[in-house]
Amino acid sequence: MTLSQFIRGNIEVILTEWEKFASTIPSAAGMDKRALRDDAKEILLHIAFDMEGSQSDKEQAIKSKGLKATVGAEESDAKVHASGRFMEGFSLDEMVSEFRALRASVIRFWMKQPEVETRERLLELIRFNEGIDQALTESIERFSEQLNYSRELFMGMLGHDLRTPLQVILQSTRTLPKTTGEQQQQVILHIDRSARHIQRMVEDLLDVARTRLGASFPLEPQPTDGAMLCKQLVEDMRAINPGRELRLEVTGDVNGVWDSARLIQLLTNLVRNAIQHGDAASPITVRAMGEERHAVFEVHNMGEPIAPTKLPFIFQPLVQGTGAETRARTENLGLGLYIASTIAKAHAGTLGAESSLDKGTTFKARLPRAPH
Amino acid sequence: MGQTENEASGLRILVADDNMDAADSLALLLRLDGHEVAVEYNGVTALARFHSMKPHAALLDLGMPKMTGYELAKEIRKIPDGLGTYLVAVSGWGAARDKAATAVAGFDCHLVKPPDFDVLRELIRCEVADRLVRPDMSSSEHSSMSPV
Repeated sequence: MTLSQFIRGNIEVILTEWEKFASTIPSAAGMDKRALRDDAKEILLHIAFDMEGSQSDKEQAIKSKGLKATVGAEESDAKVHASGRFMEGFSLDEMVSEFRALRASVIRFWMKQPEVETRERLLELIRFNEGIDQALTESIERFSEQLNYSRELFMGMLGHDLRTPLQVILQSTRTLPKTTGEQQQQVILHIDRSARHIQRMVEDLLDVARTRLGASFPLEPQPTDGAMLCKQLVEDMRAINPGRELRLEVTGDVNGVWDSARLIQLLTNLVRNAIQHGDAASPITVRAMGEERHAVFEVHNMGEPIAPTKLPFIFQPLVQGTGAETRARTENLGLGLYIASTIAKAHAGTLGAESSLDKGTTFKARLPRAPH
Repeated sequence: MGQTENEASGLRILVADDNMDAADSLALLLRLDGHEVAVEYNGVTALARFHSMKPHAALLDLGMPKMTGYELAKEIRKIPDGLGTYLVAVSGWGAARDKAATAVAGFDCHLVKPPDFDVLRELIRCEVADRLVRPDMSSSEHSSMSPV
């Protein structure tokens, strides 16, 4: 039996072994198990297929150095896989460790095969390793391309979004000496609002940098009255957005042990998102609901729904800016939802979204009443 | 013509930006220079206002909801009154491809935010006030500059 035959014949066993490892990858936590398994299967079958083709020594040397060009214009499985992992928020390390685990699972089973001759076993193993290396090289290449692209996009957005409040401040300081009374108060208000706007972007950036650098989100949990917190939040948001109708609905007991400043930040980001993307003529509803061991916080708005293809990725930073050149709104860096979801996770909770034209868009944060 | 060559004031100028503070503060600066300024916060109302106001110059943000600055400029250039209007894009985007796109859309000029007000004022003086002094020159001058 060859190793490629062995892989085909035992693929489910290998994948089950591999799955145990994959479930320990943090970024895979929110992923569909089925999708995770199917991806690994594609890659393995592709390598098995590759191993069956005859291969000259030269070809072997090229492949082991990861130099083999992709045949035709078709995307290799490994590249498609890397794009997918990137969109799902995997780090490069996490993606590479998936490959390591795949290799380890196959080798462990293969070495236990009793009826294979040692020399044959070794040769097959070398070819398998070359196949894995080839896939890994292609995946890393694609992953780096994606990362560079989104970095550029992000820097472009950052430059763009900081420019408008800067414009307001520079224009206002110029008019300030020439104005008096009420008009002057208006100019000062413009400066104040824009400076706060810039401040918020800087704070968002720092939060993202913190989590992206791998540090955990520091929390200071304390007994919190979720109903009072929502009431205060809605009042504040009404004051800042006098043109919009904000409703509050509280049901049940919504007390818990949470970091109240972070919880306010989470909900503020959701309301701000609703104001920005929701239909301006429809009300926005904030709901707080008590369950037995959890509290649920929802923010709902009507308006154009989030496209189903975009929905799985809205909580990822650096991804949703695609097409930024045509992006109409310039209120923030598009980090709000990512930060909100990070805060929910730090509380051992979840943040999800549902969106349709008839029911509108609902963001739902579900937090345990007390941290474990 | 009441205007002299050196002093540009009393022009009709349309400002459109979905960031209200940016639009309002720019309008205030222009009013302090003695211009008649209208402010709109999206492309659709800006186009309607353009029809009624027939401004000498329009300063337009690009990333606006409902109708972008690009679309708005194209619409304005379709109107007979809009052919001679001095169109300025005021945008956070300033890469070469962004500037090429504004030229194609019919803008005369592309300023990156935050715009230097001295430059903007000088542009308005040269490009708009001068055209008013020599009204028959303006349309032929513009058609030779227009990329379409």
